Amino acid sequence: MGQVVNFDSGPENAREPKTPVARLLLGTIESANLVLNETTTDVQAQAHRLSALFTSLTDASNEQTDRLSELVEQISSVEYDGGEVDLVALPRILEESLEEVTERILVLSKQGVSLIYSLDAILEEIDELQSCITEIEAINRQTRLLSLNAQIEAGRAGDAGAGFQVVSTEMHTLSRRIDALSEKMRGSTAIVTRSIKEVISSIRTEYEELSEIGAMDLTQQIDAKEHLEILLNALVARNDEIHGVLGHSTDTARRISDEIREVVMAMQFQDRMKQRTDAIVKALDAVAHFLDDHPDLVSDESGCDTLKKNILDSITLSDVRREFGQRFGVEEARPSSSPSGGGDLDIELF
Amino acid sequence: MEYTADHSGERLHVRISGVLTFDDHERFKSIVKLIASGDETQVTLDLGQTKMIDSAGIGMLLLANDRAMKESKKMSLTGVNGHVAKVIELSKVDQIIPIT
Repeated sequence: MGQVVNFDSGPENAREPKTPVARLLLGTIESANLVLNETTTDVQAQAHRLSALFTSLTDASNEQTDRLSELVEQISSVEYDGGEVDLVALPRILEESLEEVTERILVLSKQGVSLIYSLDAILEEIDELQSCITEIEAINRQTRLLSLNAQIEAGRAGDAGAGFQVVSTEMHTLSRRIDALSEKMRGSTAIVTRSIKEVISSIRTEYEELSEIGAMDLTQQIDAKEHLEILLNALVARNDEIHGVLGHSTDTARRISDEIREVVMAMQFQDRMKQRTDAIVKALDAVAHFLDDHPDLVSDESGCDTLKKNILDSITLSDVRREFGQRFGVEEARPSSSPSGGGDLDIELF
Repeated sequence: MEYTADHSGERLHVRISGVLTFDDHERFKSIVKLIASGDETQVTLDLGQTKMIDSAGIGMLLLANDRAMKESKKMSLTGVNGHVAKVIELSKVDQIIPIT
């Protein structure tokens, strides 16, 4: 940082210059020195304050970007069942559920139609069974008629036909039992047929009810699938937009940080200014000391040369010393390299 | 639902028109019988003129495919479009029955 300059112009009991001009000159130089020093201190303090403010601004900008990133992460997912579910994946999960429901509807539909086909086949067999029963009943009617005829003939034959009478009576009894059995079978097939038709009717009713709520023609599922696809695309697009904005915001924050850093670097001017001011303060200090130490030599040529030398020796900043040397008519070799504490470009501040 | 069947060599080509819903299961049964009883080894169900199909219709297509496979025949669908195409895509029938 800048050099510390001793503004103490001498002991309290130093000799005062004899001439009023010299005293005026000394007072002016000391006042100018004091003002310059205060100005330098003030500029330095303000520059440091500005640097601190800009650094704080950079930190705040970076924190804001981090918070924005965190916010985006939070709004793009939800907690569910102990885990994180990405909102973009949500329509896909719903779509999978929809596909599962659709698959079950299809399985049930297929099984329903398959069941009806099987029941139809059973009904056809029952129809066949009923035809057989009808045939049996027709045969039985003939059998019963034959047994009646046999009884009549046995009656005509008298005692000789008594045995045949017994057989024909048994045949008649058997025929009645067959009638009863066929009647029972007809009743059973009627019950089975009615039950099967009720099942088919029930399946048909179920289908009609499902059709009424749109589950059968799958229109609702198709609409839902299309809506989910639109929602999914919209979410993906929004997600991309958010990440795009976030990336843009991050770039902007980085640029702001870079620019603030450049501003802080640019504020190093105050160090240059302080070094130049210090050089002038030292020069003036040398004049003040010379006047203080040699009040009688201010009009002497050799005294002025000594003063010039003291002034130039007090200045360490090369370009300022060169400037003073030119004004004093003293040439000074320009440094070939850049020693520490030398020219303008050698000020290393940070 | 209406249908026509063409027998051409090894191929049975059935064109189904109108709507194929639960109410058509009786008539569709005759298509299943055609598939089961014929000598063809290839069966094509042409749905180009089918305007609408419900889940029972899809179930019937799957039943027909099951029957064809049972008889060692290869069944495929053709001409699917519009509502029928959407239902087939949704139900993923195309993963079970080839579509040409």
